[in-house]
Amino acid sequence: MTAVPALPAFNNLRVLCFDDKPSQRESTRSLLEEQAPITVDFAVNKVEANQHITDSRYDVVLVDVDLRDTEGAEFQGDDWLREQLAELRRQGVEPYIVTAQKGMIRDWAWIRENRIDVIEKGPNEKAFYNRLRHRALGSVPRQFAERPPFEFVTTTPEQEVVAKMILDRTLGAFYEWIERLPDSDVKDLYVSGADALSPRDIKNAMRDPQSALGMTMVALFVDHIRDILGLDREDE
Amino acid sequence: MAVDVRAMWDTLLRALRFRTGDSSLEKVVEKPRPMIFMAAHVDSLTQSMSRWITAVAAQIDGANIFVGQGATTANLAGFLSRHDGDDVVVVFYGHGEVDCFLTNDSLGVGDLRRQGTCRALCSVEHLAAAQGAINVIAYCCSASKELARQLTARRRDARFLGYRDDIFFSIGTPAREAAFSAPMEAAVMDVCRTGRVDELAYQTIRSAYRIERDRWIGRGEFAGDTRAPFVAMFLLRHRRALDLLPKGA
Repeated sequence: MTAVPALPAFNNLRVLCFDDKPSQRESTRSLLEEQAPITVDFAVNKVEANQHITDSRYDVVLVDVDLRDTEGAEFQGDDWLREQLAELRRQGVEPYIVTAQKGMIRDWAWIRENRIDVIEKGPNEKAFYNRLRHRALGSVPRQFAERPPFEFVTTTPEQEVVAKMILDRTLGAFYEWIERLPDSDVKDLYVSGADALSPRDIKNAMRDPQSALGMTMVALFVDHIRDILGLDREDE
Repeated sequence: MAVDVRAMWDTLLRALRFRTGDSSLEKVVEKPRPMIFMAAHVDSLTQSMSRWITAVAAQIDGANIFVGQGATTANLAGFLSRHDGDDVVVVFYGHGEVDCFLTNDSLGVGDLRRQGTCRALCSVEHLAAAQGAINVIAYCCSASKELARQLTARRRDARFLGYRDDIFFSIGTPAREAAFSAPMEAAVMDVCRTGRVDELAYQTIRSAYRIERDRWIGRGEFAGDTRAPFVAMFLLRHRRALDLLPKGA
């Protein structure tokens, strides 16, 4: 029997977070490591960041816009950070700049020049999330990305941003995992009151954006990830 | 705040039993309630469920077991008639609809259902005919929605543990089947011990679903199974669709 590949970016999602604030590090670690099968590495200075980027491969990198080096100089606009971001892109990693407050970014020219996505609280927050969602789904076949977006329960703004990115990416990974399931005719799945289904049946349903079964599977998966991320506390 | 030592002890025992599989850790009730276990053979899922329910019933002295061709409306009615006036427990595993449990078309009553393959094993009239208190455990889709509501509206001494929505399964290996059978088994054994469907049984199965699901995600022992994401998703669905009527019974 052909082995099914592990669900990509689900069990092994790796996040690098450039952040020197202990409280932010703790909240991010709490969200990502304690409640989800995800590994988070933190860098609090350039040396640590260099080490992590050289040694490991990350799926998501978050950079606190207010990060400063040991001499107190901001990283924003820094050549070192520009080089690191370029290196991340060469590795296929999408970096994001995170700001806790609107107006923290002073050098927008630098941001645009380096094609950095900025996550910022403000009136355009929703538009940004939508753009981010579409980008995250960009690697997924077009018909999948056309499914309606999902609503989220807000926790803290920063955690919500990270949760959305993870959910979007894992949803894409879920589609990919389904696509890579062998076309087995073994009918060992029972979903939505239907007769026994095979992985082939599920795969075909997922390819059809109008399929009720496909939508059910996506909804189940979203619930699953939301539960892992602790976004549905009313359940307990 | 007062501490309920008995409840704490019960919780500890249930946790121990769930982890060790040793049911001898608990006492049985002094006067066991008459219990009937029923499961039809409609498809491969219900055949698996028949095995699960048979394994549970085998642990209980005096259990009445009717699976396959025995899952008839007449057998259920006969059981309730024999125990007229007793408090009874009815356990059903299989396919259900909002207002009934299902069995093969030749064994049930009423209109054809499920693409013409099944009829009702029982509806609210059959269950409400019991003279003593009736406790129902329904491991099937949706029966908690109407069947349970109607039963508990008619009978103040009725209690119903079931699911308010469709529930899904991924079977095909012993580990997957155990993932779906073990939580309900824990609840049934609780009900066997106490003689009633109640909040303790409800919390037992909810906890058991969470424990089972953790084994299929992250670094869980079954996370490498080729169907692990399906199993984990479906177990969450079971936990969320679970319902106890009347509330807080």
